[in-house]
Amino acid sequence: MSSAPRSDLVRSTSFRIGIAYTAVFLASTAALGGIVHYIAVDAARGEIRAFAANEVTRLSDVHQRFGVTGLVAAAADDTAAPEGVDPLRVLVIDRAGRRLTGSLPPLMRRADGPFELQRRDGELSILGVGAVLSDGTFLAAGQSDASLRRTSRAILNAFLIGGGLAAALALAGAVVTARSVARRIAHIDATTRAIVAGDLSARVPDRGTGDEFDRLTAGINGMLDRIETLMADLKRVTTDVAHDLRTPLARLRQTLEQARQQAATPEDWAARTDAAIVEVDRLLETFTALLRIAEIEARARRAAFAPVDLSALVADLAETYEAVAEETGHRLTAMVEPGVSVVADRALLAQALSNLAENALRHTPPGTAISLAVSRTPVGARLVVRDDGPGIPAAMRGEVLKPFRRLDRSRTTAGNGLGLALVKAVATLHEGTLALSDADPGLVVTIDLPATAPSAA
Amino acid sequence: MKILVVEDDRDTADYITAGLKQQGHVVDVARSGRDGLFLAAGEGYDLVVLDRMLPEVDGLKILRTLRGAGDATPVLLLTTMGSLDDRVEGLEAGADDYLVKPFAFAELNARVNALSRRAARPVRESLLKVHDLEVDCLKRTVTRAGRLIELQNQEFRLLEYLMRHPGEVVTRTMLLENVWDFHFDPKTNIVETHMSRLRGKVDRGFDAELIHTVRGAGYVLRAPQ
Repeated sequence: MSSAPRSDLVRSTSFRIGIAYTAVFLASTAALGGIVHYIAVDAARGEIRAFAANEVTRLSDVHQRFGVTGLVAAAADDTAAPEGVDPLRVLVIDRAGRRLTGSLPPLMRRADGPFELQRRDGELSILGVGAVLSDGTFLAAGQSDASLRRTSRAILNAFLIGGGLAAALALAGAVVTARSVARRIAHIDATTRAIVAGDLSARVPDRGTGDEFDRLTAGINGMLDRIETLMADLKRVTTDVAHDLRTPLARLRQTLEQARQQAATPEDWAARTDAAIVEVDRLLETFTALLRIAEIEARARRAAFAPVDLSALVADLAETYEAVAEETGHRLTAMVEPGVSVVADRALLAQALSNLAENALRHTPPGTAISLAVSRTPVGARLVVRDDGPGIPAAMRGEVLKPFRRLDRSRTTAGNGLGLALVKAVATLHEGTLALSDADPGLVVTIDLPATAPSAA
Repeated sequence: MKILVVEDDRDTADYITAGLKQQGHVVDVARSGRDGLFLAAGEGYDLVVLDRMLPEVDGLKILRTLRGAGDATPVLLLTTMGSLDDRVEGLEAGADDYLVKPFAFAELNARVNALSRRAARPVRESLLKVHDLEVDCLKRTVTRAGRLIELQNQEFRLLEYLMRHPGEVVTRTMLLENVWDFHFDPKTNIVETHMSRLRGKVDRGFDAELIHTVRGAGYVLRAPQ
């Protein structure tokens, strides 16, 4: 987990990137060195030639004024030079080809213009300028290119040492980076392996530096939190489903067994069979509700989003349930702000509101006042179902939104404990919010919907 | 009526067939999509009960093929999936009605009868009359024996639906779907409550009852014999 083996290091992406980067760096350093070398050497050559040309011009002048004798005297002077500096050497040859003075080897073409003399071993050469004077005397000045070669060597050495050092550093950097990246990847890898192995509580350690790895870590940990919650939910719902279905199934079995053993008359048998069918229908209802919630949560229903006249919907539902309320001894009223409309799934909103209205009707005693309300908000619409019944204790308000969670006092009333879970799923699908609060006394359920669910379009 | 049942599950097919035969219909069964398509296209049925999930050729494909060929035979689509999307998809493919499994036979029977009558009565009348009860769907007025009856919105819609299916059993689910546009099963007695209010206004104080409860099935509105 801590340090990667060498072969892994060499295969790692960051190490390869480091190597590639080093290669590119070396290539560019070489190119730069080449250019610098070329320019420097060229400039030095030019300087030597200019120096030589200068001398030739000067000596030509001397020759013009004082003749060959003067020239020989003047040229001879120049053979002396300070120590350590390559002397500028001259050569004066008369018409017949005899050397009059100077130490340059007489190898060049006797013509006007620059020349270059190569020593036989190629180690040293002389750069110079020659001139044929008016009386046929040939005059030349030149200097060895030793200084030029020193410059060239110095530049090459500088680039070789610098480049080598930089390459070594880059390589070391690549190794360090690769190691560090590998270590952090190893943390993530180890965590995901732990998750796969079944330890859902494993998390990637966060170094707190806020770099991209920390952001990745935060993302992965967030995802793992979500997975853990989902797994816990799944486990709980599975258990709840099993529990909740066992009871009616047991009752069904009992009913059927009794019908078989005890039914004395055809009427008795029919009645018991009907009771069994009622039990089965109740079970099927639970399955339907579970499937519907799953369907909503899977967000497969965005296709049905369209503008919905909430005012009309609430007024219509109020009319529907007002009649039911009258029968159960409740008072149901509606407060409808006209013209409130949102982009939504009408069928699902109708089902959610029905669930809320029916919850109020079924879980409050006769005489309770229930109201359905719709109003416009700055961002969309608010649906409120309020009653002045016994309410839900604050501690239970979050719980009852979960599937199969019911208040103890509701256990005896019909219902599958999925109504509010469906309402919650519908609100979430619409990117709205569902809130349960105290109506003091009673319960207020508030659904806030955006005018258009952003991702619904 | 001559009815084709396309259903691959033997038990379900037997259940439907036995029930429909008992109602006096002539019933053919196809156990695969291919057979179903072959029979439906050739035999001239009055109605097709079509399962959505079938081997070889699936129900929706058969439906689209039939409708594509201009065949307007009423089709009742059966499905084990009860999701809203599936319902819409089925109706869009050309189904006339849609029933989710498992269902009570009374429910299927009521829908089969409603579909067959609808096919025989294609014009949607605006003036409905049963015995001495008259409903004007344009003016939205109801009179019985010449007396004007005041109805609330939903009571009117409920009565209109019953009047459009005179003498037919309509089930609670059919009413929820068609009058209230509820595609779920409410936990309160919406239909019963509104029906009782409607009867209070339409039947009470008159010589004969027009709306009757059919036990275990639903309601029927019919003229007294």
